Amino acid sequence: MKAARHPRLDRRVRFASLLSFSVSRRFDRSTLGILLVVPLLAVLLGLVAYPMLSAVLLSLQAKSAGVPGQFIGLANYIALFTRDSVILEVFGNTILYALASVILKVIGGLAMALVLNEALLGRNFFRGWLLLPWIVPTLVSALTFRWMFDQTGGVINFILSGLGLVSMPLGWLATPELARLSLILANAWRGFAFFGVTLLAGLQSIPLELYEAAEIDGAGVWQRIWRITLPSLEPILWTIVILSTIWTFNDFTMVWIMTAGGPSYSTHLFATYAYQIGFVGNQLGYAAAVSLVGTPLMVALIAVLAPRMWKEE
Amino acid sequence: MRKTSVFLLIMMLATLLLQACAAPTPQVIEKVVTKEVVKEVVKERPKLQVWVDHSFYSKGTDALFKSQVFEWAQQAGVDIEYQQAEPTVMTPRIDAALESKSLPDMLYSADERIVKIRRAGQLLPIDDLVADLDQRMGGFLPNSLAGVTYEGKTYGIPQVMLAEMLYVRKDLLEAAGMEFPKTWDEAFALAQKAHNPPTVWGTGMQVGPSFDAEHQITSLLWAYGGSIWSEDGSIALDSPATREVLAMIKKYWDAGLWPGDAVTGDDAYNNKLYQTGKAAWIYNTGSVAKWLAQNDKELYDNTVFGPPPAGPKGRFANGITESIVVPNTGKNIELVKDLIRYLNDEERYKAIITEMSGFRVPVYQDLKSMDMWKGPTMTPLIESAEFTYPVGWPGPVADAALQESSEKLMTAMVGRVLVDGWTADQAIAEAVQKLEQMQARAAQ
Repeated sequence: MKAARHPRLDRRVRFASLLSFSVSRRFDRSTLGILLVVPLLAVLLGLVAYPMLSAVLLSLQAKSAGVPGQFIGLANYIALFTRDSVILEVFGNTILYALASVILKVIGGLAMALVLNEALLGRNFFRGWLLLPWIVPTLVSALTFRWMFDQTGGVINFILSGLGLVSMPLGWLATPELARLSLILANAWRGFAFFGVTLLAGLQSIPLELYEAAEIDGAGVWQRIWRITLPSLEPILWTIVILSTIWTFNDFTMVWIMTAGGPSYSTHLFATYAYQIGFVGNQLGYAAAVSLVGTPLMVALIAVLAPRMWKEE
Repeated sequence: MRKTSVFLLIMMLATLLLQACAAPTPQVIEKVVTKEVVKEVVKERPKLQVWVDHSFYSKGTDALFKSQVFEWAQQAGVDIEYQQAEPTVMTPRIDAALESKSLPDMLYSADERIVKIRRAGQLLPIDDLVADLDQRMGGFLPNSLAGVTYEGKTYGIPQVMLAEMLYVRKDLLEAAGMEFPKTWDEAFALAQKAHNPPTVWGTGMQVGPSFDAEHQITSLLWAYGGSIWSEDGSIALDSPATREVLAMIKKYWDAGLWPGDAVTGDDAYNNKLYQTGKAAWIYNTGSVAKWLAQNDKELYDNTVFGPPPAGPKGRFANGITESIVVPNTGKNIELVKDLIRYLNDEERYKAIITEMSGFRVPVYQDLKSMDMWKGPTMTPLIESAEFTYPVGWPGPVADAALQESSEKLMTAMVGRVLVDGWTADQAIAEAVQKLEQMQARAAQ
């Protein structure tokens, strides 16, 4: 006996079949792919390309808030490189800050990942707890470091003098050298957990058999790290190095809160210098030029490092 | 289909219900008498946007000012949309409103931020209102109008001025065998005698990237006969007086009278230094005195308060005047003027000044004799109003002057000498070049 057929269901099934047949006829896979990518393109155009283009256009104008911009061509860039006595220092500060911070984050993150990859008591607790620097809002960590580095009442000088290591408190934010060091350390502290967690994930994907075979062949700990761990982590390491370099290059909060670009201009980065000129000094066009002038450097860096992300084993 | 119809019906009913529950637009019903017929005309209540881009430094003052605004609104039959927040929040909001020409009807702001709006051509000159209010309470302090006057027109009603005074540790003064310092030379002499790090440093005068430092260094320049600008607004920084001031600061810096990290100190730096007992003297507003009175009575009693030190050319203070301005984009200008008159009524204005309890000083001359100004912490503050001048002085409060102050160029100039080891000539040359660039941009 045939099962009873529901007339409405029949109509719906026939309609869906007809629709899918029409879809497959009209839209091949490539067209469907394009359609699926369109929303992403819209987001990229609206939230990335448009602001970028706006910034470029703004950098070609003399513009203050509330006053229509006046097109002045490359005058802002010419002024930047011929009459701005600070911009070269900003270049140097930014490169130093980004490179030194990232190197420290790699070392700290790798150490964290290697330790947490071992079977330790309370490993899961530490895996979560060591993420704290990354989770704490940057403003909070910047204010805390500012207090810690304070010459007259900071905890670092308190500990150092308590241990008898210094007779006079150190001015951690007093000289260009110490201020840069303090910022680099603070930034490295903030970011090493991201490296650690990411590298830990990478470590856990390395087959244990490789280590066992190496151990059987007589390889020591450092040899196993050098020959197995690091090469296996290379793609992921370069990925997070590039990401971290970009983020650190554009850092603002840590520097602005701790030193506001001082002492003198010795810790100004592109972001803080552009902020001071644009939002404090109301020179929006010139500030846009400052913020864009570091872009070729960043693009060159990515062009050099990015191929290493996809390097074949 | 049936389910869809029911759904649509429910949505329609819900929409109608929500509309019915919405608050009705307040309406004023006027009777308009024409020749033949009395008509009833329904008019909406006027609405004013009032923005205050800073706190009045105490919750009590914030609440009192707001209540005065709303009291007037109730009497006048006006709706008020009131916003008040710190400059860090309000400045981007004002910038956005500037760009979209949607500033509020009334704005209470500092002269340094008002310049930006004036330059955008969105401020209404209100000389008539100024002339009217100048008849009250002995009239305005002349220097209070300097911050809102440009090319002969006045763009705001000054309300209060920032005043600063010298805070000196009494015990260190007595140990040094000195009188309260009346000049900068005496102040630094005290700093040298009292200097005993790490227990206490000679001075907490601001030299880091902060508005306090910018104002204090500018005040020092004026006291020694120097200036950033001349009366006609041209650059006057390159002078023997500027070199003298730089040499003086450098001399005392090399003697270690400041903690080294003073060069990165923010606006709270000297407050913190004095409040933790680490500075022999600082130069600040009444906020520190208020904090001491509430939190450290011992240090409060151990502090002598006095006017800022004088230099060879006199006593000067680079301060801020906070004023009410009227953007020219509003639709209810006369209502706003009425509100301003209401707020500047003697009784209401005095109530605000009393509630501020020294954080700011009044701009009306007669109010200097209020009883509240008689006292060790209050007398120096009210006296300093006489010699407080805005950015750009003795020239106009021009856009370049605002840029200079905002970018803290004098602090940067001092930083070049103290931190980077530049000579005074080099530091002044760089500052002058930046001032010229600022003037060129302002002229575009």
